[in-house]
Amino acid sequence: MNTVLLMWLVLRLPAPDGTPKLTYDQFISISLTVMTVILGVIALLMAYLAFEGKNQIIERAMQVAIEQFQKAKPELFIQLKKETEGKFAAYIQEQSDELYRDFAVTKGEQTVKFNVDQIPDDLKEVKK
Amino acid sequence: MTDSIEIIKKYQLREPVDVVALANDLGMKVWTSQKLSDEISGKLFQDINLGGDAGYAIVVNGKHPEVRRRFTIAHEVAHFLLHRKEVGAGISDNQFYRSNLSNKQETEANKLAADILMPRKLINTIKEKNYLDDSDTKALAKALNVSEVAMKIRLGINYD
Repeated sequence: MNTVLLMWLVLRLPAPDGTPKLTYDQFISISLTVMTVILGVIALLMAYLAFEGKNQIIERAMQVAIEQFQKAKPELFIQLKKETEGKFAAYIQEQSDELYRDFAVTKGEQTVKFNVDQIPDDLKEVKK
Repeated sequence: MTDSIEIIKKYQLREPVDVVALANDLGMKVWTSQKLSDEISGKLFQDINLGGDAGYAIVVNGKHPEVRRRFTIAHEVAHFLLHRKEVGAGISDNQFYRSNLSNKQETEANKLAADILMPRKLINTIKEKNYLDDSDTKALAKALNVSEVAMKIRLGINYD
């Protein structure tokens, strides 16, 4: 409402000779365009916020479900967690073992500079 | 180098190749550390106290899986054999087995590491003894204590 009033004041103020800058029809047309754009932006913003909120709700629901499952079946939960982590560790291992392929060492420009100060202090000798 | 090849061959008579004993025999002590950052696979460096008879020591990342640690040791052994002059005081290899040495040198080290851990002759012996063929990559990898992916690469099999 304030926007419309402001526009009315700015656009409809008469020129020094007394004639209005815009006709009434022109004013209505411009006002409607501006209002449509503003409403469009607001609608997009609300849609975005609703989408984000939905994701958060789903995430929270999953979290609650996991917590409930953990409470109801603690042993099964630990077993499943271990199995999942094991699979993940195996996957990481497979991935990392691929790294010795020839092309892996010919890609990228990463280098790690040696620094004797970086020798860790928890060394344990690996025996035969 | 001829002596080194003979030492390597000595450890390739039976599976899995004892890469730690091999490194020891070549004059390097092998150490493990839990404190190396995840992106560091291993280090090869000169140290009077920590090194073996040759004065060199290998540190591997204790958080990495065994097959990975074995490959890292073999990789550092390869640097010791091939690039000792360039290594100087020491190098660190990151997770991509890259260091401040050149890509060519890293590739050479990787190839020799694969040759050390998965010698063709030993692969053939395992295959004959256990009635396996190239498609039995899982069993072959287990026998040599390497990853199946590494074995597939070694045998030139598509691993995807």
